[in-house]
Amino acid sequence: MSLYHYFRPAQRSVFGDLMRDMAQMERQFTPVCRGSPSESSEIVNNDQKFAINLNVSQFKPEDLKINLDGHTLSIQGEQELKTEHGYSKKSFSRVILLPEDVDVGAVASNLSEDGKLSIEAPKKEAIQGRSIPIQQAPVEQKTSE
Amino acid sequence: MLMLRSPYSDSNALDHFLDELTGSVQFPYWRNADHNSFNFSDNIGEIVNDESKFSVQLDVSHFKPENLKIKLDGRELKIEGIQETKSEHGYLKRSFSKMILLPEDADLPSVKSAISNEGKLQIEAPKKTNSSRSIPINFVAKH
Repeated sequence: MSLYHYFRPAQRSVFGDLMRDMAQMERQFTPVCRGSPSESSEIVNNDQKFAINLNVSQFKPEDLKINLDGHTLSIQGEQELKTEHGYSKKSFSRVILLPEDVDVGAVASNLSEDGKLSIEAPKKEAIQGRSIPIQQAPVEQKTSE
Repeated sequence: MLMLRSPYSDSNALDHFLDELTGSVQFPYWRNADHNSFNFSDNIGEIVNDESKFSVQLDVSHFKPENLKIKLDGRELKIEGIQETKSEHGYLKRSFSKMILLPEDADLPSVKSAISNEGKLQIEAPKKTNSSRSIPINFVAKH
């Protein structure tokens, strides 16, 4: 096999161009990386509401606590199990700072049967100002006699 | 798997950059864990306790290996894990503590642990071998 082409790597050829095109096409179909799971599916924050969804199916409802202190929302869970081989204890603590425009008086939580904990809070409504028209009094001019 | 580069084509810096970028990008297992889920540190399958070994498997996919501790105190095997995360919305912490009493015939100095790339922790203890042996009775002639 001749080594002529290897000593001159800059030489172009139809085969080389075709291989490069196929390699570029393959790279387009190969995902660069699987994105790490974001929190956008967990927390919903839009103009109407702020919502948090957690999967707590391993915890009983009596093992969970939700505490609201100002704008700080705390969700805690503790669980203890005793088995034939020993015991198992697990806990979690989730502290979420609610946005400023959340109506903290209307926070509601819901626990579904399959262990999905949902906490929702509506956003405050903007104060609806209305313009007051200025009523101009008619000017009466009396001619004094 | 990328194709072999043709020796005839020009290889520029962009190709090398893309090759390095897509070459072997693999996230560790705790990056892919479902952080919305608070189901963690479960037993995977049943605890194996037969005449050759005692084995337990745990799902520790939310915890990095440096955040796990395994202690053996006599026959008490303790497994602990702590994970803390800060995000734009707040703070998340989860922890577990598990105590497993090993059986009496477990060979305690031979306890081993291994963690797989899917976040599966396996702790195994072989059983002691039967070390009893029969002693023959020697006859002693009496005078």
